[in-house]
Amino acid sequence: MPTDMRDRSAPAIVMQGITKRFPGGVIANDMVDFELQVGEIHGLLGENGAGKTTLMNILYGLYQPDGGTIRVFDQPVTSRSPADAIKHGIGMVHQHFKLVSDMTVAENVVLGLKSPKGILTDTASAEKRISTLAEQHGLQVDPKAQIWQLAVGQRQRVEILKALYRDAEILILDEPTSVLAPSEVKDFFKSLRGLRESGISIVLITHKLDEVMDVTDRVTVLRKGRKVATQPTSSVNQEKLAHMMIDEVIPPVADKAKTAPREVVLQVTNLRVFDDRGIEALRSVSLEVRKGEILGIAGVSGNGQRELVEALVGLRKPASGSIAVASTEIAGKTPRSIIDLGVAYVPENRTEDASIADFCIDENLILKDFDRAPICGMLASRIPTLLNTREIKSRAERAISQFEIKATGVSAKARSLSGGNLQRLVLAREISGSPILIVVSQPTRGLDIAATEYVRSLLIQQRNRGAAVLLVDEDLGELITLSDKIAVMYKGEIVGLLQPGRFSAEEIGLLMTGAKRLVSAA
Amino acid sequence: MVRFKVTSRLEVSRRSILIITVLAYIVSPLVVLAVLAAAGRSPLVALDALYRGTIGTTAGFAESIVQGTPLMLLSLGLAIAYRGKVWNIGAEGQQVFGAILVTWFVLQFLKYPLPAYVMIPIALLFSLLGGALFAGIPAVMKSRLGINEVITTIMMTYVAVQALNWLVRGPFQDKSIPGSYPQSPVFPPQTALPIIIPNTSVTVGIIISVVSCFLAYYILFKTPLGYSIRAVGYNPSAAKTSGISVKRVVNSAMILSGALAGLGGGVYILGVTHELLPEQASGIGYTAVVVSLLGNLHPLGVIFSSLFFGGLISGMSSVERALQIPRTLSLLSQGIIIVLILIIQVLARYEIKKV
Repeated sequence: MPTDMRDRSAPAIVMQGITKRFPGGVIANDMVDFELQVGEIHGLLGENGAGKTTLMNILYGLYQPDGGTIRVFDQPVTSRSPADAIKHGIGMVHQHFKLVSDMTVAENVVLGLKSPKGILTDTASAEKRISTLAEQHGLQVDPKAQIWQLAVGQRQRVEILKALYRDAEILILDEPTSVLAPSEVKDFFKSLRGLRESGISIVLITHKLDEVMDVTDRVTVLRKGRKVATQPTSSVNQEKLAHMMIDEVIPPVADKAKTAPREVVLQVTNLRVFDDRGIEALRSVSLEVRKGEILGIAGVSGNGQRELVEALVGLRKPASGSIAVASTEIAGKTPRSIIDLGVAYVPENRTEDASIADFCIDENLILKDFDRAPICGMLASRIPTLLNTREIKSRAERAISQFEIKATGVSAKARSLSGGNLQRLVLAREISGSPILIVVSQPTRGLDIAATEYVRSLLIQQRNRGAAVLLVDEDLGELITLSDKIAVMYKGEIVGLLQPGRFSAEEIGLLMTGAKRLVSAA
Repeated sequence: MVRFKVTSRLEVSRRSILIITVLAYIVSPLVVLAVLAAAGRSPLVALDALYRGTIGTTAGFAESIVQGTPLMLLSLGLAIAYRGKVWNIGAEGQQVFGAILVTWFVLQFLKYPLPAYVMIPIALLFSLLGGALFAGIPAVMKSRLGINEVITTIMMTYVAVQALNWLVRGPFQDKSIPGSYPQSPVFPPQTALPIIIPNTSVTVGIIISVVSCFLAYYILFKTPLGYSIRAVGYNPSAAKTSGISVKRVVNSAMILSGALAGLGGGVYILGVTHELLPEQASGIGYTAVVVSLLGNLHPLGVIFSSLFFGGLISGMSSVERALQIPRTLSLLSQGIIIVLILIIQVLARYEIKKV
């Protein structure tokens, strides 16, 4: 639909009776109605698996509905592909980004668009326009940087810029804040309001109640594929929304047992690490984590947390400094030898780094000990022979029941699991060996309330068992709930170490943004 | 008016893949008959010739198996490499080098050969070794230096083929016959693979090939090595994070792949030609790329796709003779069949629905 044919007096979007069935009998959307007014921010709220993303994927042309109609600016449309949706003025930012990591920001933004220079690309003018858009909406990012060099928060900005660059008038954002630091969320909401002022209609898919209250005009709640209600945000409150959203009892976070200070498990001394661009990402970082203690690492995404974690688990070679796990030096060692010391790792990106989508549940569970007894038969207890299928299957069955993984069976592909269930799978694997140190990054990012509580209580359980836990997190509330101590990172340094009982979100916020520092520069 | 639309299936069951693949194999030759009919040739005569050249006569059946045998080993090797996303394009060079090492070994015992049960196993070992060594070079170049294996394996093939051309005109040349034919001395009978179907050229090579496929199936799906190859192929990042050495897996996949190609070259020279000829480099290594894809990169699928392809080669040359059509037309038909099968396999991922 050409831009000038859009009837802006009609609702931006009217979806009626949308039904979507997936093979296996799952009904993701059951007669869902949804309406988006022009120039509103509309929250689409629901737990994981409630059907929010499916509904929006239908609108964006990624899925074809089995029933129902869609009108965009009063025109009936069938979007057979995202290209159609984009033509209708709809842009979508997915939770898992769709970016080509070996291309620059500008190249990603113009990907699929006709170049004004015909068969030649016109990166220069694209870069210029991106910079302008970026500044206008407070989405700073270097148009010349390659995607793989960017932190998650920055990649998201690129996704939003991609939609804006295509003159989207309707913006669908799937869990946009799950990757942002608290300070970034505030700015992000500011830009959302700015976009609304300029007439853009926004669907905000989320399961965070405070965000709905904070930034939306209206909210639609979905539960188990059905619409519960659409309400003006001013007429609801968090309790009411939570009630509409969930109908199950959430287990409270397990009690943190008091633990006396015990021996140091992880000792990092003067660690210096470079990032992928060869820029110093960590400058002389020192920290320690003791047995039975959770050390939280707070910081805005891109301040060296990723490099710290990668150095700890052996994925990145430190330039200098020392990392000792239970008094064994591990700086520069391979991931395998670090795993063998009893270090578990729950990466930030579950689908990319922690699991193999095309492998079944049972295959994913043996990723770290597939060539060890009892998973693998051994000749003369040294040479691996055949995989022990029975053992692999029974481990998977145990994990599914113990960690309450919802799946059709041990041979369900990992790609069929929801985010929460995939994280349970990853935790099941990582925790099974009773590790002495657990390195965890954004463990509840994108998870629903029930899964979040589950993951948190599991981490507390591990701490109480005596594991040392290093928790990198951008969710301040979570950090404060879980951590025994909190170290705050800013520009590759630890600028503050907060002792138990002395956490304040405000102080952490000041430290994270560099407005304050408690530790003198190295 | 009833309208239809095409949507992609979210999941394609293993059974429907199998059914569709089998259907594709049956339907696509029929299309070729239609093409021949359009060219004014009798499709019935063609069909009869195709039948005789494949399963209709012992000779046709045997020729199909003989053609399919080395192809099976080469395609199997490629299937393993491709499972690990190691793009070995050099099966041709690897099989040639395997045959070269076999020839070197046999020439040492030309006058006084050892008994067959010693000569043949050792010769086959040399072929495995030759392929493995020849694939090892690009493997190390990739894992140590990050050099793209597509380029190196292709370039290595040129090296192997030129080495072959030099050897059959130089050190390996049969000097006993007058004139200078580019060929090695004929191998002693103690090195010939035993024939298993009387009055044909079907040797134990086919048994070796089929057993290799089953072995490879076990390696790929039941051993830690196969597990790590598949893990790296699907998601190298998760594999690396979990402590798998991606470099080592790349090396293993490439070397295993090369060893099987080498074995294919060995089975060909010991079972078919019994001497080293420039024609050892027949382009079979490139055909194997297609055949491994036709077999869905599955060791058991490769058994069928390579025998199908062997039948296609044998059957089409029978059609060629019966209809007096030029070789190019028969090659064209082979191409049509392959493209059709690949298209059908892709289309299987979609479904047509009433709107």
